[in-house]
Amino acid sequence: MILGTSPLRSGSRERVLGDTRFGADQGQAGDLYLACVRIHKAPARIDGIDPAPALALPGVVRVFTAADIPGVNRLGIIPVSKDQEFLAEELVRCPGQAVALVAAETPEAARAGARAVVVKLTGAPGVYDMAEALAEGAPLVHPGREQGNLLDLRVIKNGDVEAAFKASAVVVEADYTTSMIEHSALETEGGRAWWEDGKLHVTACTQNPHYDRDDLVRFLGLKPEDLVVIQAETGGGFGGKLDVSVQPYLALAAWHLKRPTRLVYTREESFLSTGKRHPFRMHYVTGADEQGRLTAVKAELLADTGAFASYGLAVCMRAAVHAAGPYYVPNVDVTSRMAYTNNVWTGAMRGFGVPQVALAHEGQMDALADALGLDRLEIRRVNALRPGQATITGQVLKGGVGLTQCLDKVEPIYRTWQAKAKGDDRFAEGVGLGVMYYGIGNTGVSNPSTAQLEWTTDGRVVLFTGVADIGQGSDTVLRQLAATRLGVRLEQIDLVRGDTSRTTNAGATSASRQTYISGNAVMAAAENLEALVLGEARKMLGARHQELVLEDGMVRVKGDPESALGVTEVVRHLTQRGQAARGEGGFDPHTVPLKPDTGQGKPYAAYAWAAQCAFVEVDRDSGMVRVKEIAAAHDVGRAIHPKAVLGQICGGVMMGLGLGLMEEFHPGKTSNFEDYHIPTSADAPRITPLIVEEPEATGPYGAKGVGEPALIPTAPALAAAVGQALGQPMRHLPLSLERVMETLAGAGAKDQPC
Amino acid sequence: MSRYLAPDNLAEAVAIRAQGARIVAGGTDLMISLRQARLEGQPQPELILDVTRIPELNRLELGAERPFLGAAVTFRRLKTDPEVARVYPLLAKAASMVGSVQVRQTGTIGGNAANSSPAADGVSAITALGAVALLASPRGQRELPLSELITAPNKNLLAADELIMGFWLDRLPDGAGQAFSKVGRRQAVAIARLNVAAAIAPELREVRLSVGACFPSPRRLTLVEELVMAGQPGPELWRQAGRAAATNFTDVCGWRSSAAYKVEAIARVTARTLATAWAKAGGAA
Repeated sequence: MILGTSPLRSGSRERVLGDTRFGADQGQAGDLYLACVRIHKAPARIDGIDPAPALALPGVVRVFTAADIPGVNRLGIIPVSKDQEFLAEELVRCPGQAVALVAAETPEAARAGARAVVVKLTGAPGVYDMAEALAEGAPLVHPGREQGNLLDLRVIKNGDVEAAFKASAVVVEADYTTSMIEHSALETEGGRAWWEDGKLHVTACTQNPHYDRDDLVRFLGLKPEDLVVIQAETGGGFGGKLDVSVQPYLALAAWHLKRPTRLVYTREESFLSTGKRHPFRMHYVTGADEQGRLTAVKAELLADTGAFASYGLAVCMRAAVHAAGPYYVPNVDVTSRMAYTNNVWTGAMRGFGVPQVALAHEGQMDALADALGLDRLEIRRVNALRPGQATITGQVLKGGVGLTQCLDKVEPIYRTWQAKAKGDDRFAEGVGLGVMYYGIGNTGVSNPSTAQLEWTTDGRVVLFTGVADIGQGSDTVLRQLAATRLGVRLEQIDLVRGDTSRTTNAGATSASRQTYISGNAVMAAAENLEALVLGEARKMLGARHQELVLEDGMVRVKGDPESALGVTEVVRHLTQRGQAARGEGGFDPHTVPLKPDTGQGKPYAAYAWAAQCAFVEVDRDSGMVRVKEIAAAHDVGRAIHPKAVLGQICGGVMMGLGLGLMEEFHPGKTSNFEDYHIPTSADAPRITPLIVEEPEATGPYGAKGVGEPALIPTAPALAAAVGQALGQPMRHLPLSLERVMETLAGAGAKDQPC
Repeated sequence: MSRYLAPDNLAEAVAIRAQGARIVAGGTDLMISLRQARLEGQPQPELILDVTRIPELNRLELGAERPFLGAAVTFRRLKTDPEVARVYPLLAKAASMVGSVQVRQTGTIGGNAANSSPAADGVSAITALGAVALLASPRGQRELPLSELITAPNKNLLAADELIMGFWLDRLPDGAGQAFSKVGRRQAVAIARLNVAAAIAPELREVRLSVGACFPSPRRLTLVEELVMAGQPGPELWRQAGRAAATNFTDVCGWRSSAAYKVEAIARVTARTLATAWAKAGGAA
């Protein structure tokens, strides 16, 4: 048994021994060091860049500006919205944007050179608020852009919400906001570029080597075969390493200078220059009948993409699709808008807008339950989507719908905590629920993966995959799938991963898609390899009409134990005929694009489901919130590697705790971990992860994904728990000391201390 | 490149300091500022003086007629030393809430004072204990109350050739109850948004209260102390004292919208801390 067990993860030994070579560890003697000249005030017009003072410094080799970029100086992860100038041309659009790049013999010389470059700037009027950005006459972040500062507008419409509200027993209306968040991956961005065999090579931490390759090829005006990207071991991504970071700088300097280059961001540069989680402002109106059944949801979403689009289109659409939560809602009217501002740009971060809308749809469910005098868990059960029901995009769900099972799992814990949460004169206690669903893979678009498996003549199987393992464990899970499907031991599977010269595109490690999509690609490759081996064996055995099976490295004839062949023998037979024992596989989930005017369609082939509950205490004196316990039930379809699933759940809960309680990135102010707080181990509650396995018919052995779902229900559950403790709904994140104290103080004399 | 010197005697240390050396003890603040300087291309100090091997600075003599706390004593030692727990439990508590295991392992009380952050937990604690800094230079030794040594955020009167040897602390009356509270944005590695140190002797014979992260420099809130001493111990008195402490804060710092949190929190946390100290002094709640 390989599935459902938790073998030691690939690379664990190296990590423990400190032998893993991350992006920052790639440098070699003789490399040139790079440093960016970044502008801290934006917007500003560039009147001139004088590299002479930098070039006069010892050790400085060259200063590059936008004029040195041979290809297209427009980057960004989504092909239709590439708008980021990696070295600004005429206008600096947000703080942190680079205008020049210095290459030098030492890191000190590179930094000194970057400080010495003289940049003449003229300040220009900017806009820093997402609502103001969309107002008439706001300064344009991208002057001349036809849609002004509106990056995207998405709607989901079905039925008649106004009529439904009129007929509802209760209608609740509220505003919700979330903050800008920094990914805070332990590893900052780093990498190296060099020439080898006449090709430019770039290695860096990344979530998608093949996308990086395509972006760099455009940037330098090369052909895809002229450039190789190799994923360095990656110390966390959480969406922050989907867009390129150091790679264009490394490649540009190495391309010009024909020398190896290296660049590693400091934490400050990482904070300053990479994307953040979109802050959202949300207005919700939700109606229900007397039994608590949802009648209609009207949601207006507004998010800030900062100066560049990055993954904004995807977040805008995904937020809209998930806006009503995992519930059956007959009438819906969702408007999702995303605005450019002159803030630091925002992009993908674990959940793509769903953690933000989950705060709102869950807050609305609690408000409805309270207004109707219903139990908060029961109202979720009543409305939970079930097989045969349609989502708000009109997609009728067939199977793989495990929300009620998740609710069943957390219910006894929820009831126990509710009974326990009494509090005293010092601490107020509260318990809250959060539930979610999450579409696996990209929204309503093709997002294929590919893989190859090759049986070698020495009895090993090599898995070729473009999947970037960034710590989530795909290296191990994909090997488990291949080993199971081919009937070999896990140890027999070798891995070639994340090298664009040796693997093919598996798509990004994002959208919780790799186990499901790339897992299916590996399964298809295994199937093809098996067919090839069995076909050859059939010829060798002359067993034309008999059924052959592949197990334990042998090809056996069913019902004839005497006739058997070692697979290695078959593989040799194949290779002697000049044919590799190689199977190719691919998978692209079946989706139907959403109609632009109604948002109706089939955005995803599979959904993950979850329910979490949180138990908190609030210090009535200080407003400090301590999370005592969190229980998290997740329907993952099938847990291929249960320990990895539990790790994802616990890590996600901690990230959700940061989003809920403390994390808040202030553009232009936040500089590093001194003023950006993420939870420490002392903030960790007792976490009870619960795995639900409601098989997904289209998944590899029934598996779906869990990477992002793990985070999504946590902040809503915390907001509900703190709200219950304070006797007041909490609708704005983070639940900072100030917000909690404001609520405590507003609660009046009954909450006075002592 | 800086030169790093770690003498094992005070005379040598004073001589090195007189050459303009930057002092390092635990380094938990200094290393951050040196890194920042390096990234900004600012010069690094030529001389760095490690004071942690000087015997006088490691003295911890709390049972003495005039209790002494050496500047190089670490927060870990303050947190774990049984004598500190017995004589100054509020100091042990404050030390236990500093940073993280790693920061406490190396960070020192002297460095906490020399860095002069208004939020320093150690400074708030020893301010309540009446700390008087003992300073050494080639010109000899002098004493200066900690509340005078630190003048403003990250500013103090330490001369360029001086180093902090340690702090004289007041002896507290027998049976005095002590308490320390800290508010941060998370449970560890958090700079205090507010900290409160309080000591109350039985029958209210003596009351000590210092509030940190609220004022530009460390101070005992003497007006509040007097109010408490003149009052009837009980919830109403603690509430009054808390409100008085908050008023003291707005009197000194003015009222801005950002002060809204502090005003509420000072009132509530001060009241709670006084109540705890009183209970530890054997007083009825």
